[in-house]
Amino acid sequence: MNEQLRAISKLDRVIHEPGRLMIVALLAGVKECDFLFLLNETRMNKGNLSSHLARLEEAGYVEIEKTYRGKVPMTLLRLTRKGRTAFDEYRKGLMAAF
Amino acid sequence: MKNPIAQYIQLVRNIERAKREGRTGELLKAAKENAELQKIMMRPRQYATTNGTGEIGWGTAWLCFALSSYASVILPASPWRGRVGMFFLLCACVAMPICLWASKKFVIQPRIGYVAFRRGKSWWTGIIVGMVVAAGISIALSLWLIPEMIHAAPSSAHHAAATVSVRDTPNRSDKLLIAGCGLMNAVLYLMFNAVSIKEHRWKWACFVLILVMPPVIGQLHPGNYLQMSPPVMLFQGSVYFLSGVITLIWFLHHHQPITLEAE
Repeated sequence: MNEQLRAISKLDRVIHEPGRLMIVALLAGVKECDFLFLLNETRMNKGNLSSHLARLEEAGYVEIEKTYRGKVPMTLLRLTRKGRTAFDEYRKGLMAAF
Repeated sequence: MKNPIAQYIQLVRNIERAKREGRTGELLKAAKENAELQKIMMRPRQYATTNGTGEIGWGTAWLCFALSSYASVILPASPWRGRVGMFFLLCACVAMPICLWASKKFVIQPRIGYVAFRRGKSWWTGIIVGMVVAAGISIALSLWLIPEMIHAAPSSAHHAAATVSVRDTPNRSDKLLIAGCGLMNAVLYLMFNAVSIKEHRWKWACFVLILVMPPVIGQLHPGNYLQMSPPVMLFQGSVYFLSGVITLIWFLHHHQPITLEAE
């Protein structure tokens, strides 16, 4: 049991939060997507999603690029290499914990 | 995650270990959570297969192949006949990429948002293996069909140039090929609709039609494989196309465009 608790405590706290876990899982399945896509998929409100993305960007897991599609502003989001590795590790850790 | 098979083996090992240690419930909880993550990761890809544009593209390709064959029969002999046939062949080749592009730009993007998929090593491996297998099957079929189809007519002293006659009654190979064509398209139809068929039960009827009708058409329209294939292509193309159109209408009805200034 102690070993189990140790494994759980090793899980990445940045990813472990349910909202961020959903964002990272979605980004892991694609090359890149826009803010609108994540908003639509996660069903979070804009403020919540923005704050989660800011936290992930701060950790270096997500790259945020502000661009335009025609004249409309578009925020492109993609998982960094570090983010992908962290997500892989998280999933392995999750399985190892139980 | 990088190697799903290795992951699956690891999962089975973990389950066995947990069973031995009497903590199956905990492990199943973790496995369930992991499966949920996998489901979330795969969700964006489903939009590309649930809006019916793939079926429309494939159906259009088959319809164009059929029209190309019919053009050479129906149109009067002229230089234009060949060009019309070639035009339909060209349309058949570009139908699928154009439909997928239009789907992304006009259907998915305004409703779901912009998303680009990863083209990893496994994707390229799949494409190359698919192309090699398709080329192999095409070459094998050509080598099998050409001697079956064409019988050299006995050349006379007056006709030095060899003339050929084409067999117009179906043999076992023709029937087998037509049935194979139905089977291939039926399997492909299931692949196109792996996700959406759970929601659209009527697609099972289309699947059965695509599977069963080619041999029936072969019976109603006797001839060799080349003579039987245009009506079969026309039928299969129509079923694919109609199924795709209905799915697209349903998708558009259930996914309203979202505002572009939501950011």
